[in-house]
Amino acid sequence: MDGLITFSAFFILLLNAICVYRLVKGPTVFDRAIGVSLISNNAVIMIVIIGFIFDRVDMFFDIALAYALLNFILAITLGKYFERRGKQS
Amino acid sequence: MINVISGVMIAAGLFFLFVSSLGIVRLPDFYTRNHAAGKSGTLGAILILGGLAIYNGWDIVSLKLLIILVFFFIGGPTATHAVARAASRYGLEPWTLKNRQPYDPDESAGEGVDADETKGGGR
Repeated sequence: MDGLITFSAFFILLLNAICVYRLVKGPTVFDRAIGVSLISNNAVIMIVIIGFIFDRVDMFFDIALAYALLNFILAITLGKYFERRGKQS
Repeated sequence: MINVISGVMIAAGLFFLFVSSLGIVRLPDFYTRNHAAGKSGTLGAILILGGLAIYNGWDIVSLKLLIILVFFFIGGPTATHAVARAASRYGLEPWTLKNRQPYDPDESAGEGVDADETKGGGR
């Protein structure tokens, strides 16, 4: 079971490396927003898994919850900002 | 028994996260990429966090993991919908069969086969 948890940490790291492609080479700004959102989504899970590896889940959970809240607020703010900018031009 | 259930859930979550990352690279349009990133990413996150909560057992840590799971369950589709609505208001057009390849040579072949590039540049 510990082997599976360590493997999942490395696998999520690989998936983040795949998502960086869309972040760099997005045609529009919304593609980059999706890339950032998915990378943050994976990073929250990865923080929880790192807490399981180090046996300090009670400490790492708070970091993960704060990061998830930041991710949510980032997506909402990006949507509002670019929607307003599209209406003006 | 608990190890088997949580292992299967974590493996399924890793599979769905892989599908999400593959879709965000390979799909042709913004809306289809948003579709892949929203649903598969949320389901993979929920499966992995649920598997870790089952593996941990009945504890205060497991309750906290359930809190972050419920937050993902509510916040993920909301963020996806907000970005998709912003793109729709911005004026981004969806991928259809007509505009799937805007620089296709078949499109300019109907106008003139011999000098399509100079004709297109003249306009």
